[in-house]
Parts: sequence; structure tokens; C-alpha cells
Amino acid sequence: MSGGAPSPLWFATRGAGTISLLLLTAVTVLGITGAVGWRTPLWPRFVTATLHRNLSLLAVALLVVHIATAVVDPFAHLGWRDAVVPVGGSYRPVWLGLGVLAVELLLAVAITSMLRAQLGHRAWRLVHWLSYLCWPLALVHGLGTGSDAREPWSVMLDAACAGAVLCAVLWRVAGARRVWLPVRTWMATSTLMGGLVLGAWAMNGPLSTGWAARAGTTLPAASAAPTPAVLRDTVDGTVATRDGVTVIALRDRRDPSLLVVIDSPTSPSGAPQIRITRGATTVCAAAATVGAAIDAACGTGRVHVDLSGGPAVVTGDLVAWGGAPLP
Amino acid sequence: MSQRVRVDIIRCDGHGYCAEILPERITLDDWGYPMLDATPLTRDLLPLARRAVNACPLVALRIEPVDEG
Amino acid sequence: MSALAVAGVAGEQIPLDAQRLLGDGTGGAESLDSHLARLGRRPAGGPWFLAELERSGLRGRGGAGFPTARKWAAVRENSLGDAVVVVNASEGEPWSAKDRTLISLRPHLVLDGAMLAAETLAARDVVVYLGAPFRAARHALRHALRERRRAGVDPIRVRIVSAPHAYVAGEESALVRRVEGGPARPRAVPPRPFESGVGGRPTLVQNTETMAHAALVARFGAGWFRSMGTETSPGTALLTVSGAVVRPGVVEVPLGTTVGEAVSRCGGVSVPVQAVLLGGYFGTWIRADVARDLPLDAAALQAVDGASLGCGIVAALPAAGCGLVETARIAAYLAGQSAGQCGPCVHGLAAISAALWRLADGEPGCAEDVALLQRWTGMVRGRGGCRHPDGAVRHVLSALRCFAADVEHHVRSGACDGANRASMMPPVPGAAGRR
Repeated sequence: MSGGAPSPLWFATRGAGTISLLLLTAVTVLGITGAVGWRTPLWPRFVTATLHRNLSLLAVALLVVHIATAVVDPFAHLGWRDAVVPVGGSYRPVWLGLGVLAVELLLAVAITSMLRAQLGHRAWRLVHWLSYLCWPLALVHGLGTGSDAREPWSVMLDAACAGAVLCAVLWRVAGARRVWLPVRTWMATSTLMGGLVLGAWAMNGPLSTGWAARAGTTLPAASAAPTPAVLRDTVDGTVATRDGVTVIALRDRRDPSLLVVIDSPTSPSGAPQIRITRGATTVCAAAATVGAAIDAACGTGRVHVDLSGGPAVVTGDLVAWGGAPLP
Repeated sequence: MSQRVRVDIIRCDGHGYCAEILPERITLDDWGYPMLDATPLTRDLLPLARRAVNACPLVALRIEPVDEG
Repeated sequence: MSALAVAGVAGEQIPLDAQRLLGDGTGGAESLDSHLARLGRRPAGGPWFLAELERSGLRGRGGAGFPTARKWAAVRENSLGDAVVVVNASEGEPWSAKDRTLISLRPHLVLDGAMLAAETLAARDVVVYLGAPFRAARHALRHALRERRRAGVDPIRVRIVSAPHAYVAGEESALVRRVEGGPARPRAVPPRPFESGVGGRPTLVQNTETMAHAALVARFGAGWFRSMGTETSPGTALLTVSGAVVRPGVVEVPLGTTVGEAVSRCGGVSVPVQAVLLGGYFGTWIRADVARDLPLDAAALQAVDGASLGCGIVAALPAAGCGLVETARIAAYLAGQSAGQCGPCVHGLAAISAALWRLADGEPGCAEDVALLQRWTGMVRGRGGCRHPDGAVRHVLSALRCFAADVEHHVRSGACDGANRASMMPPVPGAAGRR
């Protein structure tokens, strides 16, 4: 059977994307620091300016890696068109599109900055103000498309980045003494509101279950090998503990004949087991690891179950890839 | 051949990074614009002068040879 | 000599004595026939003329006073038959009217000078850079060009380029830019226009009046030119006399004439006068007792606070007026006229103007403003992309010296009475809103 586990390219995409977000956060914070004119004897303003410039170039380089690996990787089903046109993509189109927009904005900023002396101050300034959009677009893109979005490390990283930029913006607004106070108050309030809206959206969207389906993760069309089969479905079910075993029974919403049962002994000596059946046929029976999510290897394929809710009723995502039996 | 720093004051926007890097030759006026000392650059100041030239976001600073006589 | 009527600075008709440039007889623009009848045909230009100009000692009448022969020689040296001749009639100096008056009365003299320049410098383009608001001058110029075309007297076709009525529009690199089709704002110099100007070609930028003098030198020779004026400042010059005089307007005087005599040509002072602004907005304030007997000669002027003829402005400040208020108005105008390209000029002149107004208004604590003015004038000088801030600084410093007594009075006891009276000086553009 063709395909297999996600390739190194997939990890490269996600890694480069995460680091890009970190860099863009730093670039944004440094840009604000520069605009405020903050300095100490050991950290003059040119350090802020040069670091801002260099890190943004590094971010662009990493974004090239991020985009190239995403397009080239067969697992992600993305073409070059998806990397350039912000709408109508095949994978989570809205959230991917935001990322495309962010990159295009960033390129515009970089190019106008390099040609600043030729373009004149006003043109440069206008484009550079738009660069403020890059960072939130990148953050939302990451939350919307990232398959790691719910991982604790990812959530903490996103929160830290958001926190840093929020604080920097509030600092700038507070320090802009020449701006009329009501305007400054409005700016600070809307920034905070923006942060809250972002947080609320994140909590109810990417960080809750069923996001994959809602985000428009389309099933790839059946095609000749070597495309690996991918399954992403919403599942609903129950959790009950009996005789020292926690049983999670789930039914696939799209295909109700697909059932997933996970037996997880409460004692540490027992190993959790996953059994997936379609009608009368057992599709997969294997050992599973149970943590924040449930993972198992089924033959050549992998299964990943993400649940939320409880304690008795749960719902979540079932993702399976690589192996022949499932779809 | 001796060299000195010169600024294109029309390009300059008063960021002031040059004065931070090369205070030996550049100080800022009351509005943040560079006042340049035309004294030739000594050997140890040349690397700093080049960094100052690179740091200017508007490429307004340059190093040029001094006309002798 | 019959009296000529010409529009004065204040827009009134005033009588005017006839002289070399302004000729005699007709009112209104002189026709080609009358011009030729009076002065004869002009000789053809060429290298011989450079020598003649050199001997004449003619200097530019646009403000800088640069030796004309040297400027023409520099352009000729760089010319490969492609030089450009530009007659600078932008007259952006608000209190000057001489260039447009000259064009309105004697367009053919000015055009003769331009053609002589074109032939001497091997140029193939001639431009008249005329201030946009000067309709009478444009009308006279167009009519004169039509006459000349019909008579076939010019080897080159003359183009008129409109100059915005702004102070820096007459600066030579701003002029070049505007003639090329761009904005009338100074460029970072070098190269200078005589090497690379309009379209990269060697360009002669010459004031209107200087061109007219050159046209006469070609006909009558250096010796004739030097028969009037002084050793260091030969020939005659046009002055625009304004302020507290009976008949403000444009007069022509032999150089070496005293300021007092020039003022008498305009009917003398109308009220007692305390000081005179000589040269223009970049010029020098001189106390009346000194000015009265001060010859308009380069060497003599230089000795008095570094003054110079500039563009021939003589503005008389009444004793009852306040020199600091007039200077504050002018400084505010000059600050506003900055091309806006260089930080030290934009911010420095604005700061200087504000401090000067506080001093002129005699606000409490304006002693500090005097110190700030000294600090900022020193900081701004020489640091602009063109000489605009330098000229403004020169004016302000000369005012602080000339009106030192007023400065002390304002610092100690607030504004003097003169500050509140209506000004007798010609209006400063843009000052209407302020005071």
C-alpha cells in the first residue's frame, strides 16, 4: 500500500511555521519597541532596529521553508495555487488563506522597506502600517490550520506570543502622550477587546473538538496510489468505567457503521486497547497509547482520536491515515 | 587616502542610529538630525563607520574620500 | 526724459525715471521695431563675448552676485553644443518686482541677452522660467516672441516654463528640476547646473536683469558699461524700493548710489524711518543713519554686517514700527517656504520662527528665546540641502543685531508700541492670519 506516516516534510512545515510565528512575534514587539524609542545604555535604538530588520528577513526565509514543504508534501494535498491565492483552497480554505495573506503582506513590507529611499516616506509608511496585520493573521492561521493547535505546548506558545504583542501594543498606546486621551483609551480598549475576541474564538474554535471538520478539512478524492488515504471524522460517544476498566465507545457521525471502542484498564499494569469495526468487520485491533489524545498503529496506518467533553458523554475527532483498511 | 562620513540630508529621516554607533563623529541636533564632524576617520573608526552606514534604514549615510588640498 | 508708469509693488501706478535698462519714451512693453530703432541690432555671440563680459565686471543680479563671465565660461567649457540657457524670471522674492517689470517693459532686451548666451555657450535650448502669477509679463513676453518669430531674429525657439510662486522655486537646482518637468524643489547638489543641469546638459541659470545688462554690454562694450557704477560694482542696478517711502516701486540707479539717494528717487521717506532691509528676505537689516549714506557697492556693503545688494530690495521700516515683528513675519514665511526635504531646515526654521514670535510679542520669559535663537541659528546654518536655511538664519541674526535695543526692551518690559501698529511694510505672504 502506498503512503505511510506523515513525512518529514509535514513536520518541517509545522516546525517552520511555529518558529516563523515566534519570529514574527519578536519582530512585531521589536517594531513597537523601536517606534516607542525605548533604549538603555546597553541596548541602543539601533540594536532594536537592526534586530527587527534581521529577524524579519529570517522569518521570511523560514516562511519559504514552511510554504515549500507544505506544497511539496503529498500528505497535505496542497498545490502552488493554494500558496499564492488566499481563497478557495482545498484544505481549511479560510484559515489557510489568512496565512497566504500574511505572507503576501510580509513580502510587500520587506520589498518596500528595501526600496524605501526610492519610494518615499509616505508610501513606505502606509505599507508598514499594514504590517501590523501580519502577526494576527499568522496567529489565527496557525490556530486554524495547525494540527498541533490543541497540544499544550502549542496553546502556551500561542498565548505567550499573543500576550507579548498585546502588552507591547498597550505599552505603545500608553506612551503616546501626544495623542488625545480619549483616542488612546479607545485604542487600548479595542486592543484588549481584540485580545478577548481572539481568545474566545480560539476556545470555541480551534481549541475545541470538531474543529477539523468545521474548518473545512476536505477528504481527498479517491485517486490512484500513491496518495495515502486520510480519514478525518467527528465521533460521538460515551465513557463508562466498569470492573476497573474505562470503556470509551464512539460512533462515527459520517459513517454510523464505523465504531471505535477503547478499553483502558485503570491499573497501570494493563495496556489500553483500541478496536475499530465497520459493521461486522473488524478494521483494526491494536494497542493504544492514551494521553491527551489516543493514538494507535493499525497495520501500516496510524489512528488518532481527540476527545473533549465528559465525564459521561464525549465528542471528538477521529483521524486515520496511511493504512489500507480504514476508508 | 583619508575618508570621512557624509550624510544626504534630504534622504535622512532622523532615526539617529548613526549617532549611536559612531558618536566620535556624529552627534544629533535638537530635532534628532545628525551633525557630522568632517575630521577624517581613523583606522579604528572605519569598521564602526561602515556599521553606521549599514544601520541607516534610508541609506542616507556614506563614507567618502576627503579631497586633500 | 518722459516719465514711465509702471505697476509698483503695492499695485499702484508710479512714475519712473528712464535709464539704461528701462529705456525711455514708451509706456508698456517695447515693440521690436522700437527696440531696434533705439539700440540697433545685437551682435552675434561667441567666445569674443566672454572676454568682453569679463572686462565689464558684470555680476549676477539674482542675489548671489556671482561674476557673470565666469559662470558663462564654466557652462561653455562643459557644453558639447547641447547647453541650455534659462532666464530666471521666477522672482519668488515677495518684495521684489524688478524682473517682471523689466520683462513687461523691455522684453526684447532680455531676449537679446538670452540669445547672446545661447550663441556664446553653444546652446540649443532657451527657456524663460517665469513666475506663474505674472500675467502682464507673460503677455509682454509672448507678444515679443511672436514679433521675433515673424522677424526671424532668433536662431533658437524660446520656451516659457511656469515657475510656482514659491521662495525656493528660483533656487537653481529647483529650477532645473521644474524645467525638466518635476517639482520645483532643490536637489542634493553636486553636480551643479553648469556641469549637469536640465536633462543632464550644462545649463546656464541667469537672472533676468543680468541678461538685459549683457545684451547692452554686447552692443556698447565693457568700457561703456563701466562708465557708471564703481570699481568693484560697475554698471547700474534695478532696485525695488518699498515700505515707508512716498512712491514705492522699481528704480534703476548707478551702483555706488547711496541707499538714501535711491530712496529720494522714490520721493523720499513718508515718515521717519529707523532701519532698512537690504537685499531681500535673505538680506540684512541696516540702521537708517548708517543706510542713508551707505553706497550700494559690494565692498562698502560687505563692510556693514556682511550686507549685499541681493536682488535689489530696499525696504524702509518706519521708526514707529517694530523690526522684531517684521522679522518674525518674514521668518515664519521662510519657515513655511521650506521645501520640506531636510529635517534641520523644517524643524529648525519652525523653532526659530516660534521663538522669534515669542520675542516679538514680548512674552514673559522670552530672554530664554534669545538664547535659543542663538543656539538654533548656529545649529541650522549649513545643514540644509540648499542655502534656504542659511539665508533665513542670516536675516534673523542681522535683525537681532540691528534691533538689539528692541530685543532688550522686549525682554525686560514686553512688546513695544510699534508691535501693535498696522505695518507700513509690504505684506508678507501668509502673514495675514497671524498679525
